Amino acid sequence: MKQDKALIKVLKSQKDEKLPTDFNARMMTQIYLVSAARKKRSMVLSYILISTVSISLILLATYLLTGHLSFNFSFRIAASFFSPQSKTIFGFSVYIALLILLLMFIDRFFRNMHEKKRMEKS
Amino acid sequence: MDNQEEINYIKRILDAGETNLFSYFLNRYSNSIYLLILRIVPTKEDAEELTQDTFLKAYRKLDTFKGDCSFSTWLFRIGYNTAISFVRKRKIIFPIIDESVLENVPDEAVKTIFDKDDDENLLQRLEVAIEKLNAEEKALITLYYMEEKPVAELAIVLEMTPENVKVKLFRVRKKLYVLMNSENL
Repeated sequence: MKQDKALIKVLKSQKDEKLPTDFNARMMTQIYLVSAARKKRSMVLSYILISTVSISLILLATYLLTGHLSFNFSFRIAASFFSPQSKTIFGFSVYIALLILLLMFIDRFFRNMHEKKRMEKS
Repeated sequence: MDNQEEINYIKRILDAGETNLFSYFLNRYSNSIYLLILRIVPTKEDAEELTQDTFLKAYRKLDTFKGDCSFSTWLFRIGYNTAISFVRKRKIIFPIIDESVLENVPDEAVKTIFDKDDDENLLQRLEVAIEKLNAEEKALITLYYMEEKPVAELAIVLEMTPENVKVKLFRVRKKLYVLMNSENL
């Protein structure tokens, strides 16, 4: 059927019609926006998931400790916060937490720098 | 670039987040998609907007592309469906020709008329007749004659069997013949 020269000629004559020259650039801007929105959405979803799981675990632990193991929170908290030994442990925990925060900050800084370099290259 | 390389590009976009690689698909296919949609919808503005929609849909659904057909075929299917939905919403009416009229058209006459590409009057009438075809028929001849897509790929784009595509192509030629020779339609 491809010998239909007249049909081919008429249809191919329309090939001169072109999209505006800035179409692809405009399109890429939109694609980047969609991509950024998608990343943000997945980040929010993962935060929600992590928070839900964490809260569920805490609630489950509290329920098990109070309901099944007869754990007295007010007594335990008072005993562990006000003894001299607990103060040392608390200080050490704060030190570790600060170290972790610092490492996370450095990690984020280098990730951002890497991302910027990649965007500039592209 | 072959299909496998295009699949690798898609993997890099999805897995490594290299969104900039999508510009390759835009540069390669945007005009072809635009021309297909322009054949189906009435204005250039609509065609441009629908081309935009097609690429946004393609990007959003990129993870559903399984590689069982070429990327261009997959993209044409999205473009075709987008244009068809638009035409259906606008309720554009196309002339209907009775089956018996098409059956009475001699094959030889159709072959003879479409083999002449130097008769300006005939080409003009053909152009007008093409405009009167329905959206599916326009897409069919555009992909087959202009984009030179094989019947198997047309079947995927239009979601029909290859045999059905062949029958439709045959009938479209007859319909064009009838439209060219009748002024009332």
